[in-house]
Amino acid sequence: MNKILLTLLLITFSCVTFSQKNSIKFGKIDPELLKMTTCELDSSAGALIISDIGDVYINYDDLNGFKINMIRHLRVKVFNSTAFDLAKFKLKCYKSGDLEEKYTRIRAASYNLNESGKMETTELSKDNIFTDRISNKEKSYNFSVPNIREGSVFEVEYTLTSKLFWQLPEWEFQTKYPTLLSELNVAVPEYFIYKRQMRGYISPSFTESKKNARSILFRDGNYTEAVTYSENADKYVFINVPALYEEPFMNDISNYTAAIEFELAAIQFPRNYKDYTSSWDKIDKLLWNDEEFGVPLKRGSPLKKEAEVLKMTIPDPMKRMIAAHEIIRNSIKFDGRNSLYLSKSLNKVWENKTGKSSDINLLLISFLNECDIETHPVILSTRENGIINPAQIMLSKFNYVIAEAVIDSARILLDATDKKLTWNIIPEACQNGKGRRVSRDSRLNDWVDLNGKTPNEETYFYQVKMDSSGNIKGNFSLMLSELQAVDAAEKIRNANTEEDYINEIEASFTGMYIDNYTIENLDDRTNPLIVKMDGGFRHSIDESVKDVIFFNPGMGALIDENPFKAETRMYPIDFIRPKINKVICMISIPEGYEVAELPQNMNLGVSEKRGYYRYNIVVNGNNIQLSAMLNINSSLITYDSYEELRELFNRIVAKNNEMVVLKKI
Amino acid sequence: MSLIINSLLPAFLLLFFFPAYAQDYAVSIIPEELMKNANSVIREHKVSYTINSEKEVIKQQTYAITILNQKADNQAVVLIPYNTAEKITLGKIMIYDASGKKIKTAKTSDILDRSYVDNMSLYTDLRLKYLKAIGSAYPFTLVYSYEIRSPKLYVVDNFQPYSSENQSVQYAEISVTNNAQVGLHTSFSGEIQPVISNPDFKTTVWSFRDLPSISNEPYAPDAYDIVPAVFITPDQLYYSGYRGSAATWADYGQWKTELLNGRNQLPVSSHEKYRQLTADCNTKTEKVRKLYKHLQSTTHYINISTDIGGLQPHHAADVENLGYGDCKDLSNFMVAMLKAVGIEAYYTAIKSGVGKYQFFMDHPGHQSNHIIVCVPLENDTIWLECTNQENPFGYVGQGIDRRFALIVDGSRSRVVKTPSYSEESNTLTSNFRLVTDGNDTYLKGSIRFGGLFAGMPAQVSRQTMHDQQQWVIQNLEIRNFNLRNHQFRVYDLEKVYVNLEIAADTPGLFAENAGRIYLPLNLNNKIKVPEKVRNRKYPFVIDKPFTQTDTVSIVLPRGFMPEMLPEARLADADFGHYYMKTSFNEGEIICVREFCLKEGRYAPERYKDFQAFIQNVSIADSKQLILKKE
Repeated sequence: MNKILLTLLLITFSCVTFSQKNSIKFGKIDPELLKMTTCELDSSAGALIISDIGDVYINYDDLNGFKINMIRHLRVKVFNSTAFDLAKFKLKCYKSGDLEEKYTRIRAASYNLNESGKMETTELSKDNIFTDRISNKEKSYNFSVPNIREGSVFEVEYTLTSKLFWQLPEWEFQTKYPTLLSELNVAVPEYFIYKRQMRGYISPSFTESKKNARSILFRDGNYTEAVTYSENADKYVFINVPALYEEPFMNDISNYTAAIEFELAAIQFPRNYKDYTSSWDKIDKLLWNDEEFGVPLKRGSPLKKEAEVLKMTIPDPMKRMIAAHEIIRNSIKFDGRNSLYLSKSLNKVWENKTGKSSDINLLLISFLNECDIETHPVILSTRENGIINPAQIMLSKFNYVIAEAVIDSARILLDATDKKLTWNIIPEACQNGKGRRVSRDSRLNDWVDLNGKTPNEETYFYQVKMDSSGNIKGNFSLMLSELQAVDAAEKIRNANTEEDYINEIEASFTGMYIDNYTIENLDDRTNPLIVKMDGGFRHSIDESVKDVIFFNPGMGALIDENPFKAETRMYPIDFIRPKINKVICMISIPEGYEVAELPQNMNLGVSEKRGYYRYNIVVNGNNIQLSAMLNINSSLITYDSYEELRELFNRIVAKNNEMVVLKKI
Repeated sequence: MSLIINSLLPAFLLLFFFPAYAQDYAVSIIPEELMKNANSVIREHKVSYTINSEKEVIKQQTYAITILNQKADNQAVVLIPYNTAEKITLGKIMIYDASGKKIKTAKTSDILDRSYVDNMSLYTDLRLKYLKAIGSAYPFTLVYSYEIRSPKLYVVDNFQPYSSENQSVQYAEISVTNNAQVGLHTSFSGEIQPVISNPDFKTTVWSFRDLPSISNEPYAPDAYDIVPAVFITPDQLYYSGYRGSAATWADYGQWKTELLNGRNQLPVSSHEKYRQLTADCNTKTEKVRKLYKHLQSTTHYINISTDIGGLQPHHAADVENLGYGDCKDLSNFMVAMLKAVGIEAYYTAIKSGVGKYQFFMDHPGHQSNHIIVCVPLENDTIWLECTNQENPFGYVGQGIDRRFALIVDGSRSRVVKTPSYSEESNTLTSNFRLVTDGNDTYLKGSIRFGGLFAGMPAQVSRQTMHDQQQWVIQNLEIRNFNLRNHQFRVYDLEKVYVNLEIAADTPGLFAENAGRIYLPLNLNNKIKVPEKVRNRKYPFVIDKPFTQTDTVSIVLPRGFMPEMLPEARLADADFGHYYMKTSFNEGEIICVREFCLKEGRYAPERYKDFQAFIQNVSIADSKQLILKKE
């Protein structure tokens, strides 16, 4: 009896690990699914991903040799019409030279309960699959699952084959809908070694690794050999995955999605071994030996003459670097495309005066070295491309290169693609975690911090006089630095006239009117952007309380609403750079009045010196002087500090709303 | 008589008979007036149509644009859509520098040919010739030309000399060489009329010269009120075997009806299904509502169109089986469903878009970009937007309100107008109660969204709880609160409106500050002050009138008395009115606030009055209630 029970238990156990796959067969739907009206995971979700199963394997056949196959089987329950879009598919495939990706065996069906409570199946017919020839490199198979309605269950299955071994298809375990089961099986012959990187903030429910023995008949001309090899099979299973939501102050959402990606490290056939990218050293060497990266840098620069001139006329290296950067930045037009590699020779880049970001910055590196300024390439991943994890060695994650100039002990990051930015600011898209310095001397290779340390500063300064009607007149200015200045300058330049920008400021403060203004340092980003204005605020005075004037000393510039109102937060807060907000007001009170009530001073801090808020207000003769400063030191705040940050802002906002009371003497 | 040719004449003859002068693209010859407020200048925009027969129309276009600075970068493109039934030939694409010297000629390999399937579509047979010109120095001039041969005669053109704001036009022209001598009708828009000439009896040319740039102004009227355009439509139509007339609206509607023939039938089993579905409905309105909701829960928007598919819907029976289609397909299917239960409804062509009200009544022909359904009942007319699953029943949103539309009904096709909303129908009414009992402060109340305000919350009410909360949080103007509970309810039986109930904790709202409590009274309506415009050129319109009515009642916290009860009253005979009235009675303070903005169209000089009026309202609105400790 016991033995039978044990066997039964063992059988059940193995069923648990294989049941997911075996029990989910196309066409076999449990009618209970159709009756489901909501799901436990999220009662307001428009749909529930019941299962999303991927099988990625590399196999061999005589005709094609080794190739990658991916079979995907997706099954979805639709609760309401907001999720109908899930039924729309556009399967894209690419061609690279002779190598082409292909989709085959595309099938889909929807299941509904008809009037008599019976299950009704509608299959996708081949006529309703459209082939969109996007360009000569790209094709797309477009279809929409038929007969989708509220309460439907539908499924889609397709196979993708590819010989682009460099990367296996990426798999996302998490989407904006809750998922019951997302599973990826990867089976790869021992000859192919892939590095894997997992992303996101949740871990798999379980994983499993196995080795399978496979045998094939390997043909090479007339020579046939029976070969046995070992296949490495891995399984990643995620159960009950919550939906992914966007929150304010987040980096690109792809960084938070639970997903996995693969990059080829090496191909190791019995007779030959090709190591691609198994260590950072190898990657660095690979880049320096690449015709479209390191090799042209080893040669001289096309700007020899210009370099000579600069070396002769500007002895100071810092000034020379700035001049050289200016030449490249102002001469070459960025065509908007990013890459790690050159798209043409450095000579051609200089001749045509246009290029990708890599063309421009690699030319810059070459030029600076020619000017006797030691400069190294720094490769990075832009914000929308995802953040680099230094523990995962993958070259394919990098999509951008900038320059790092070394003058004495100072290391200066430079990018020459954006005419609006001066030498000291690299584009916001590049300020993304860490980049990697790849020097010709591999001993210098290391990680480089890309997020600027200099904070974005925003200062409001008011010097005004109030009359006995509560109206305010005087001058005020706004000073912005770093990225905030870049954004404002961009806004001013894009507006029809400078005046439009001033009108916008005017309309955003209650009662404000601006008579005159000047804008300083619009284009010079080594200095802050300063907008100076004179005008005032009109306040309507209330007759009901005579001889008393109530007003807020912040002149509308203080933060008066908590930016973090949601009670809970899942993901870290990303401010990009440290920020400092300052408001300084000097207000002369009207003749015949005195200060009856004044808000109290306040000094608040966030833990671990991550930030603070100081509010100081004093009466000085006939003047009230307010100085309020919010300083956030770190650009990234993890979600377990969220409560604290939220509470900080609660108290800041409460203080900022306090009023000054003036009484007639 | 013989021509006396002396040594002087040949020079004159050369001047007259040489066909075209070499185009000079130097920037220096652009008149100064045209450089004002311009990021780009169209040097030459010439389009010519040669109508050889209803099956052969040849369009030729020459286009030269000078890009003055980087703000016009997105205009330095060659973007030519065409469909696979047409034959397209591209001429040379060239770039000239500021002095007018040619610096680059594009290679054919630089020109991309891509399919033009946008995000909304699953598949169309539209394709695109595309090239982005990148000049290394400003200004530079992009010049190109092309020819398209089309086997149809449907719309000749809607020709606009301008293609962007902040752009001036040196010369633009459209010409029609009517070899087939078909009837044409023409209309113009905007304030500037073209110069019309006839170089020969078959050819008419409409041209514009030296048009100054137009800048965007806030509260601008429909673009066609200001921007000139030439609309040319043939009296007789031919498209893919379908012939018809556009001489009158009835004729044009008849043609559109023929496109629907044979495609609006449903199988008998479906008739039965819909009859059963609506069996327990008492009125016709209820039946329409039942079937509309059935449409919304079983279909969704997908665009698949090839050839005349842009104008002709798929068979209603196919749409029923597949459960998807575009606006034409879904509307046609809706009409078929209603017919199956004996209710008359019409496929209706309309130009949809916020603020796009312009309609040329005297210009029958294609003026629509969308199809909806019109159901005329005895006491009411119901309008159905068939592509939106979250739209409340009968709701006419900002994309289709107060404009003309064509009811497609054979020879009885006619132009009708969709409903407009006045300040009495676009209402935002709120009722809030603020209570503090020592330590806890909370808020409870509701907001009712009526008229055009109902559209957005109705959509939001169908989204996930998380997204709903985000929307509610963004729409409350309270500086600090924890949302405890909220509930949306959408009503669509007679009028469409949405009710939103809210309960929130509001810590710190009654915080005492040196013996006083300051309370803002506007909890959910932020007033957006319009920007000033110096030297406004064009009229302005207020086309979304509304009335906001808000009541806030505050239970007086123990130990405090009101020190200042805000009050204000502002009115303008044209624009509207605002008042705030606070009263105190038996331990409770009640504040009633109303802001009403009326519809209107005004001369540009009045804009500063409008701007000042709204600014005064926002100043009055910022007053706070002040309570003092006894």
